[in-house]
Amino acid sequence: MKQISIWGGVIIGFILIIWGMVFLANRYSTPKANGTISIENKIQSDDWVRGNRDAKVILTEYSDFQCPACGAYFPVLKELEGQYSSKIALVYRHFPLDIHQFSKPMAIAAEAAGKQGKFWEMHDLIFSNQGTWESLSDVRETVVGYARSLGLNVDQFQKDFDSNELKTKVDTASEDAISLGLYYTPTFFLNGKLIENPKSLDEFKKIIEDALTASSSPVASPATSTTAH
Amino acid sequence: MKISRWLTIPFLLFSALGLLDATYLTIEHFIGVTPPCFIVQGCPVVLTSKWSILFGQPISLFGAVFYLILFVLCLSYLTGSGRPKIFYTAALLTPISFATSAFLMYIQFFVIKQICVYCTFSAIFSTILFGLGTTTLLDLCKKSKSGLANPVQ
Repeated sequence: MKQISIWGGVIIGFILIIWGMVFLANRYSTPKANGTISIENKIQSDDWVRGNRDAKVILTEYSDFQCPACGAYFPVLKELEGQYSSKIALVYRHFPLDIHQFSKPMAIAAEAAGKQGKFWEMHDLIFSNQGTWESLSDVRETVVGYARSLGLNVDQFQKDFDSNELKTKVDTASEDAISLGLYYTPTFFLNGKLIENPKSLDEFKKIIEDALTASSSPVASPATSTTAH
Repeated sequence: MKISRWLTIPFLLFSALGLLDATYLTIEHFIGVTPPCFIVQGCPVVLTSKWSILFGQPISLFGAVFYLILFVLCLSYLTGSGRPKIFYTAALLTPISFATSAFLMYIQFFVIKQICVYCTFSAIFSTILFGLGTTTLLDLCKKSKSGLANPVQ
């Protein structure tokens, strides 16, 4: 009886502790908008942009194609794009994390499709099928299949996919993100300022609506353009 | 032969601490965030590096399973029939976690050049467990040589 009490107590205690850890992880480990990191509030020449390039509100996402959270934000961003395409610019920047096997190949595949004018189409296909390819041992055939389905010149796509140029571009993007002090994906910046990742579409919409209101207000201060670190 | 409580109780305590530490890192990994860092600032870099993954799983998951085994063995000894073999098994396992932690500390210091405080705590716990395990086994050897104990009882 004593033994059962001890083991039962230990198991219940452990379950409670795990529950507490999950709570703490959700509450305190979610990236916080502390205002210490900011980026230049303008679209770079090599950025991938959806929506209105001339918009006063720029939402920049540092993302990783294999990151589950980025996959979860994908439909949210699509929804935002549909709703605010004339009012905001949505910028995508690569930040492939080392812990994901296919993040870099997928980023390169998107870039290779971008060379033929279909970055976003490839971007959408990659994220839509994240659950399918992430468990494969190799993704080359998968991305070539995507290229074919998008009507790309497959030979050219494969050449670009294997090129050092695009590998270097993705590596450089990753190094830039790290040099900013970023360490998680997705990381969002609104008008150059780091924001805490919204927990829902509604929360995201509210943040954007506030930014739109601020940008249209006659007393609104000009957008910041500070570069950190 | 009864093993001193000065060895078994700290062993239980540090295997529990190691289990909690590794479990916390594992939960953080699967939620997709990194824990708040303190003392040093290298947690995010270390915990998102390629060294944090083994066979597609976070290395902390393997640590958690290992600490769980040590904890269960030790608690079984303390609450069960008191058969020393159970605790000796746990003691024999400690060099594995000690060597792994030593390797991972080397990676942090010399390869990544960033320190994760949670990983360092785990290395400290595994070093203490290795010390306790070694002391237990040396004690057993001494007693065996002097004919005071039967190691296979």
